[in-house]
Amino acid sequence: MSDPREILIVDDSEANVAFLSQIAEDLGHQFRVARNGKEANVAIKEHRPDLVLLDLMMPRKNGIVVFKEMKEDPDLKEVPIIIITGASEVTGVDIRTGEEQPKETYGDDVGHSLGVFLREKLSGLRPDGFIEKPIDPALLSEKIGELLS
Amino acid sequence: MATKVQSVRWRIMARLLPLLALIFVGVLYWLGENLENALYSTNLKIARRSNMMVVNAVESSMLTDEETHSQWDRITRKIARDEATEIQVVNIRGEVLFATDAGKRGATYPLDDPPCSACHENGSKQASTQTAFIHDSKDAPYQVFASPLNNIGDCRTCHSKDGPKLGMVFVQQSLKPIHEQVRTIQIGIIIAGVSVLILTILTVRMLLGRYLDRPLKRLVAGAREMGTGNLQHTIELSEHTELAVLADTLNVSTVRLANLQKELVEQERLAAIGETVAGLAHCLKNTLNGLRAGQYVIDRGVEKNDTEKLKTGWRVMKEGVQQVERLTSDMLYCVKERVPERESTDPNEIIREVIDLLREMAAEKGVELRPVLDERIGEEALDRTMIYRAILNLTTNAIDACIESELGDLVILRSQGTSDEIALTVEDNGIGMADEIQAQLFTRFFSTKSTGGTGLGLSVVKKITEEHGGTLRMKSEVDRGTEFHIHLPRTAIQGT
Repeated sequence: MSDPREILIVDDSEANVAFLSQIAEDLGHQFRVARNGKEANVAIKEHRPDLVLLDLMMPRKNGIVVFKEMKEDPDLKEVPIIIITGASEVTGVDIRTGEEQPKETYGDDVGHSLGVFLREKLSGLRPDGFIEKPIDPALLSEKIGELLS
Repeated sequence: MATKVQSVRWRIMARLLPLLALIFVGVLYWLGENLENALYSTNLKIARRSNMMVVNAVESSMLTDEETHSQWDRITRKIARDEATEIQVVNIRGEVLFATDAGKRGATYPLDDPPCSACHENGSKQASTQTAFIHDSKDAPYQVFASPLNNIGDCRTCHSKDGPKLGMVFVQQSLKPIHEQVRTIQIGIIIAGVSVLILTILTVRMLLGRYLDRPLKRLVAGAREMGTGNLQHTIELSEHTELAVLADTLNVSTVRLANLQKELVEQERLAAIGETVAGLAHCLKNTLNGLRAGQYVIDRGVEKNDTEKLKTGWRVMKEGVQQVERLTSDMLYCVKERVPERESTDPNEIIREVIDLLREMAAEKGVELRPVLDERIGEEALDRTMIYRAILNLTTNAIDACIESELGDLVILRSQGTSDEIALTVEDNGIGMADEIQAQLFTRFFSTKSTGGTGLGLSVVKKITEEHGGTLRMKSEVDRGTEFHIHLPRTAIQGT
């Protein structure tokens, strides 16, 4: 077991918070929870986390804005962020790389336009990790371990 | 607006008829002219022959000597009879020495009267070289061939060859038979020509009808049938002409079109299935995520004998189950065709019930639900359950939109009635929607909610509105809020 680190869980869903906090606990890390983008900003300013698990679709400042702000802040840009979303199928954009997916993988044309929108919002910034819903605990644990080692 | 279709056959006929008539009149005129000339010419030949016969037969002695004169008289009369002419011999003083018409013998023609005036213009003694002329008498026109009786034989000892003439021989023919003949022939030509013209027109009409009009009519009827969407229709033409080739081409194209249509329908069906399945899979993944989360936490609770964790896990599980229930219900609602069960309903009452149900929950999140009702809206024939569900969905969405924004704190539920329609509006001052999100609004299973959204709520609202014969309108601005308007037409039941 590595040294206990602090993970900030940013998610508005009770199910996900329970899930992610249990995984963090199982890995022996401490965690804090922010229910929306605003709370995340406050939590990050109070205490710099070692890792952020970030949901994209959230009230009061969505995950994309939080992600962008952190990556553009010189003090925070080194904090690894794992984006957790179920959006990739409908947006037609691979969030891991920010690349557009082949046309046939889009749900439809609207999904494609949403993908373009998402890509513009990310402005070429890359998350450190990417986990698709439904969350595979083993995969997420492995990714957390990798980023905190 | 459809313009009157003109028949190709009649347009051709209309142009052909004057042309045929012109050709007919031209041919008739040409035939008449040439025929008359030919007859005159024949007549003239006869006159010349009679004249030559008379001139060759005559001797000066014959005109004076009684014995020879009677002989000459007989011969000349025979010639006149055979050739159907009238012959006169006139001396240079104009005295008629001989005439087949006995009444004219002994008469004297003055120089300035016919027949002398034909050659002696204005009574001049100098005659022109004219040998034939047509004289119009009041009975019938006649043709006169005149030739001089030259001095011959013994006379030439005293008179030179070109000296004074002895007189003139006039061979006169009535033109009446010629004119009658010409008229008869002309009438014959007219009758024959008109017959040929009518026959030609009928033949052309029949041929145009057979080879053009009828196939065209069938083509037009067939094309119209195909145009109505009957792609099984084929056009059969009996004559193998270019029109038949056109019909065949049209038939082949229609078969191709029908096949393409089938393929297109199949592709659309598969695409719709694919889209629905993709959306459903996405929605199920979110639900599955919740269930997996619950299961994971319960496992840890069991392992550690931690009641709190068991409770949390179980709550998450239950939420997942509820979502599956909502999803199933919404899916069935979207798919099932429903006729609204209309009953006399007060729309304001529905709005009040929705507010009663959600007020507490909204207040907990800092959102006020405010009714602004048109108290004179009256009762309306609506499916109460369906409209309740639509207003509930919109209000829940509006509350969520307020929660998501920093400043959103108000949802207004409005009713408004006119004589034609009622409008039920749910507006919030919440987060609003970007164009990209608005474009996705009615995409089934699309949801921006992190929890609990099936992505079918608005589709359900739209379906309910349309099943009531109404329209759903939306206006949204990022960070300013969203308005949904349900417009429903008044029905006949209103006021009963």
